[in-house]
Amino acid sequence: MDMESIILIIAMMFLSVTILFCLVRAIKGPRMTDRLVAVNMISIKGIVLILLLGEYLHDNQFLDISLVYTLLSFLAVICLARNMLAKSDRGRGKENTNGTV
Amino acid sequence: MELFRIIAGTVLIVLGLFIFGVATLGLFRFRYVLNRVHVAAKCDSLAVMLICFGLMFFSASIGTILKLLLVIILVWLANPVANHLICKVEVETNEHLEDECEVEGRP
Amino acid sequence: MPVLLFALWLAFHERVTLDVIIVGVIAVALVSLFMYRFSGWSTKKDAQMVARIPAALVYVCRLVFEVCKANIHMIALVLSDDPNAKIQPKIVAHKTNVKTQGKRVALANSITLTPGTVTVDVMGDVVFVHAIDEHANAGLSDNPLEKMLENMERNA
Repeated sequence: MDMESIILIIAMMFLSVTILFCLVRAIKGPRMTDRLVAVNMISIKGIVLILLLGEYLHDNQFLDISLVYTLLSFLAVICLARNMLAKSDRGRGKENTNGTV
Repeated sequence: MELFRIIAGTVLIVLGLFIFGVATLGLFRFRYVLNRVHVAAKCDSLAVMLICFGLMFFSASIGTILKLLLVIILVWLANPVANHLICKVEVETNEHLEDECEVEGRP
Repeated sequence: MPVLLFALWLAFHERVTLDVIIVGVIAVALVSLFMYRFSGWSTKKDAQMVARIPAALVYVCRLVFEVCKANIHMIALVLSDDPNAKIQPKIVAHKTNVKTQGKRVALANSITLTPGTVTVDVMGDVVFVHAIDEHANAGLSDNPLEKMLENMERNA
């Protein structure tokens, strides 16, 4: 096993542990936005994890996967946030219920 | 030359991992969401950039380097927008915002 | 713009062979036709974009420098004894002179990435900023990135 693989494996292990701690924050978070911050961070760490895995396996397909995952995670966070915005507006009885930002 | 390549890549990746660790620690040490967002927004962007540059040293082909650059650009465009929207949700939905921070003009 | 799209296509494929180039030319032609016809692009805008590339590069370098500074600030804050005692979070309304829509987006993203400040909302020419302490609040009024954006606007 060469130098590069050892470094990449250690990096992946460290990232997994930090993802676990983020998950703790996402479960504990007192407010909904705490969870959203934690989920956003988890997805970015997931992107980096996929990149490291692709480099470790010498497979270029993983790069495409992480590109798509970047866009998808961004879209997921945006959708959740806008959904919450629209909900809060309805709760307060405002006119704006279509969730425009 | 080979040794220099590996050392440069390792240093960049370890720096990126350190910043990710600090970001995770920041999620636990700050008490309120808007302060946590500061850590999440800044540290994630720089850590992704450092790790991608480190991986560029490890991989040789030009296509991989271009794709890694594309990942950096996408994350740098997407991450501030996502965090900005989280802030907006917090400011809009929290009824007791004044307890946590001074408010000088509210959107 | 077609050149940029074609470069993106080649970057996605990682190799240059005849079939990739042929399919790429067809796809790029279709997409740029759509963009020029329906999406408001024109060759004049392309020329403007090419002319702006040097200023944009300088801007990006400065942005990376600012992000490094922001991270050092953040790391020092998180690793200090009691981060909650050291901060005075505050939401500030900041008036900006940047006019164009696209540049305002760039400004909002830059404010998020510079030390101690996060954009909360943009309404017209007022940017609502969450500053983490007094120091960041003071740095907001003479932001070098905002000055660069104003200069780019004046020269355009």
